[in-house]
Amino acid sequence: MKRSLLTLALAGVVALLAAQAIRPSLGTPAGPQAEIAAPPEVRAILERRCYACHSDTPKLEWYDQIAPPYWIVAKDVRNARAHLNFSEIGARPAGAQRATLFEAVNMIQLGAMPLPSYLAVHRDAGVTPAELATLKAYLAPFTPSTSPTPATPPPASSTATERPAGPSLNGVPFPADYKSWKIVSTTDRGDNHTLRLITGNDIAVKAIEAGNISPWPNGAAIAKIAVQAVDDGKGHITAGNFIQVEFMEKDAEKYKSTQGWGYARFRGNDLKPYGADAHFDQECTGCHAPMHDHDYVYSMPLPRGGGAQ
Amino acid sequence: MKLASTLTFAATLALGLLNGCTRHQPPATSDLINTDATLHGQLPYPILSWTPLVVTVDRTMGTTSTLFTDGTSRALVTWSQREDPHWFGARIPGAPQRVELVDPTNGTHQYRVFSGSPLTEQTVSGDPTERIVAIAAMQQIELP
Repeated sequence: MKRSLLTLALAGVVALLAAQAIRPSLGTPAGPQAEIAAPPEVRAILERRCYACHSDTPKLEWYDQIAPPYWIVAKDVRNARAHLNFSEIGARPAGAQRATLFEAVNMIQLGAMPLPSYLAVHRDAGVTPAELATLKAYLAPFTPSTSPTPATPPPASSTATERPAGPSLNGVPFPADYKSWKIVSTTDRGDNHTLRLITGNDIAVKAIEAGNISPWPNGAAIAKIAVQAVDDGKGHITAGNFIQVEFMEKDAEKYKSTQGWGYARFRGNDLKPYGADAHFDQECTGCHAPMHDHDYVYSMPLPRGGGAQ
Repeated sequence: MKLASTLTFAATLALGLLNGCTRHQPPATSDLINTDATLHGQLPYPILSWTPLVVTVDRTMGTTSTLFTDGTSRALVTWSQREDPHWFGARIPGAPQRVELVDPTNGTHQYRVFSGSPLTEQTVSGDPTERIVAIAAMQQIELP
């Protein structure tokens, strides 16, 4: 018995040692280095809390270097850098960098970042409330405007589409009847200066009335219509040009690989399907992942069925 | 590499279980549905079942309004704004402030306003023409 245990322990040590020889790559930088444009106090927080995975200079603790945990770390770093690399996004337009920071702050706020599995091991790696407040103060989404929004001419393809738009690149159909859908909610987005009208089809509306949205029933569909927020410089915001409409169509089986929802986005007045290929919806699922307890839906519907409604 | 994949899966599963043990409770109803924005009161029409036409915001007042129509009448519902608990950088409807109704009757427009909590019809003081004209002039979002 004692000898068997010794043999087993020895085999374990040999396997562990052998595992150290398998060193998957952390990935290589995808583009030239261009650090995110942000003030020093913001950069310091990002470097302290995010750069360990989301940069060209990943930082691994000694215990991260030991396989098999190292294999998980390497995979996380590769995924992290593919999604967001603070060392490279400085090359993108200022608006895009700002949008990225908003997404990062929201992922932090929702507890999705740093990854809970990472925090389980790296106990002190979390963003502190003070650090989060610094990031939010820098972003200041609702800073009052003192001048009117410059007039923006309608997009070149301004003629409303007469024919139904084609399906999304991932096959999610364009719901031709979306203009007749009823309100779910509205959103004033200070982060990207848009107004959003969120609507739902009959199944979605009935689900809201019944309080049956956790999870939403199959067939429910939600539209998020985004238009420019036009500020008159005196605090009155009105709806400007149409930007895009996004859809979520629920089918737990059909869309099993994308959280039970078919995601689609159509941009501009010609309703051009978004994305380079059918996998564009990985962007959607990544962003919606923190809302898994809400069946991946960010919007909080206006109540129906009570009072006068 | 097959061994590596198996061990990676096992380690991920272990961390997942560890994380699962600390997961919080399902969200409260008030975090699923925006109960703060409920239109309590005796409104004459099911306005939220009408077609939404356009959204506006008044930063000074901290309000957001949505214009609805049933094809004949128009209703402008104004809520105070609240921070979106799910998205930093967004504001959503909070407590209702008022509902303004413009009904065409006999070639003129009848203006009614509901406010308070619960929403209750108020006596319109003064000339409502300015409000009628403003609501009638609101342009709906042009959807492709």
